[in-house]
Amino acid sequence: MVVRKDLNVETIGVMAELPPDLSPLQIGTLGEWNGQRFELIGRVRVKWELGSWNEWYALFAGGSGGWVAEAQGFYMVSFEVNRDEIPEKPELLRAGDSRKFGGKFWTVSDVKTVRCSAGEGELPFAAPPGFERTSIDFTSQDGEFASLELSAGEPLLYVGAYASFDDLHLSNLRPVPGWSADAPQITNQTEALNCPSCGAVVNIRAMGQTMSAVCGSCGSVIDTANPAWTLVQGRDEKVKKIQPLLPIGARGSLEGTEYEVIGLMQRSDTESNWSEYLLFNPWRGFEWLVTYNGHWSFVHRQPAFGDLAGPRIDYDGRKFFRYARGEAKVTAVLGEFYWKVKRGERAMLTDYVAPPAILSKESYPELQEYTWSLGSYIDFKAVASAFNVKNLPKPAGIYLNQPNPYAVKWREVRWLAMLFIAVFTVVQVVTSSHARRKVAYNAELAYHRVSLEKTMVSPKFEIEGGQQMVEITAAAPVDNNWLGLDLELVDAKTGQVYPESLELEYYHGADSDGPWSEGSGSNSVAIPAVPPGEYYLTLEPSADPAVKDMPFHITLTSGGVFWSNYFFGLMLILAYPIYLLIKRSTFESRRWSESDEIPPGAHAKS
Amino acid sequence: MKHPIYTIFAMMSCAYLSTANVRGWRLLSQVSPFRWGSNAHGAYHK
Repeated sequence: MVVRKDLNVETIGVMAELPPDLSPLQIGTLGEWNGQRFELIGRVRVKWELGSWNEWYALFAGGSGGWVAEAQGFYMVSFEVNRDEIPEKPELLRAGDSRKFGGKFWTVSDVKTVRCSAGEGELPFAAPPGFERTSIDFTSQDGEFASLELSAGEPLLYVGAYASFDDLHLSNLRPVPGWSADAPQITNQTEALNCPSCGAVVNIRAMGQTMSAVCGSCGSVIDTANPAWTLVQGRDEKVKKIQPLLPIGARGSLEGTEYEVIGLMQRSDTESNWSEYLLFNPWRGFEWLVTYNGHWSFVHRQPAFGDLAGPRIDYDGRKFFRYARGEAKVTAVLGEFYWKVKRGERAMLTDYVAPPAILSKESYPELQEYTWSLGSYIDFKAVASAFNVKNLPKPAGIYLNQPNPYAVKWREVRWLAMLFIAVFTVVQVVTSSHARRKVAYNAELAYHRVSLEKTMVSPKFEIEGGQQMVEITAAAPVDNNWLGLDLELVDAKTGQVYPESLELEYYHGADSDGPWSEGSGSNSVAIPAVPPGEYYLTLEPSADPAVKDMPFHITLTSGGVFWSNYFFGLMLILAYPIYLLIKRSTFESRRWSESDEIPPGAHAKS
Repeated sequence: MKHPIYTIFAMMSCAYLSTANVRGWRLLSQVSPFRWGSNAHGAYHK
């Protein structure tokens, strides 16, 4: 190992051999962070009671140094800051304490004793194996992290941020055995050791990353963070009865990345049981596939989340509404995990949904820790196809983050509906303005009770233009009586008859409620699709027995449009969008009927 | 096109409306464009 002292280097000897791992990073890996190129020139393997991780020393362009930590599949880039920023009496800090430095408020998330177990390359300090220090981790409300290192020498403060694999723009990576085509061929891609309880072979698939593994033979949970495997938890014969839907070791591509199923954790709360499959990719780290009742969610851990709470969280441009809160217990485990998992482990879960997304918080009160994850609903067929498994159970019921199919259709159809309503209205306005009304017959007539000739026949008149509607309007001075007209429009040439009738009645008076009236002295009837030609009208009036004589007026108008066509068409165009709205609402009601929280629509009202 | 049936239906509705308005048709009608009135008898001829 070499210690850098600015540009001078000093060899101080050979460190302990680094344990094998599946890290894709190596000495000489190049990268870029915030526009600055860097090269990894040294590494320290750091251990603590519950696990270990890599800290890579990066030499940035310009000669400054920084650190790229690689833990649990996360990358964290940090730089040493001015020692004046170090809070006073740091040795008294405990988890949960808050301090202000660098212009921000920080909360102590963790205090632990760490030890260098191995190293390689060039480092800015001498770190012999067994070198111990106290590491105090802080998080800020906006997700940044800081680490204060206390050892025999001066305290050191590092401030940094989480980074994804893509954020680091890495190149010259180490070929990962079992994953990279150009990796050295090895006969055994996994590390196989014997269970300290029953002696059965236990394979480790994410070497250097996993901290515990479950013996598939006896169910013992084994601490794999240290070369000498020890038991975390004793036997569990039920392990043989676990039948994973996705076999441990199965590989499949999700969102363009190949993952291997390395663990299965079954959990339950007071109402339900579900399974969580741990996926591993050497470059992307760990992800989860969570399944319940045939529904699946692909879940990404979110390390840079603050301690958010409340009934609604706005994140990534979406509004997440709290759906459920409760305590969950680990009921069964299989495979391996990036922490020291235990059956019976309890956590407080809070789920927020913005379907198809789900934001979950897990709190571990005993450890004073919380973690966030962001998931997205994934079709069970996509899971089956990705991992080449058959007969996955079909989804049953409505899941908390299941996309509302009617909401998707509604969002698509509403614009179409608005477009068609606009087009429909324009068609109505244009065609009605062209269908000009024209009076074809207009006459003053009279009803006489004593008349021998009951049927009146009009002179012939012309209806011009094309096929069109005809409206016949009658008006009479009815006053607490009525006049009826049986009429027929007759095509003089073809004899085609259009029979209609009109009732004119108007009654009025006064009672205990005051004056009243009903009916009208005029009425009209429309006849559709009348061809042009010569017509006449026959009328047979009848009237209230008290009426002896009554004049009436009759008008026949051609042209115009039926507005009922427009309104009926509007109803037809709106029928499907309205159906989708109703179904969307019903779907959401069913979704939220399983929740004790306030549904999204009720938030605005409350 | 994500909703072809609805789109075709709505387009046909627009086409029908324009034709109905030009031809004087009524969608909900006792006398539809496809059913003519009864033939007149001689008594009504002038």
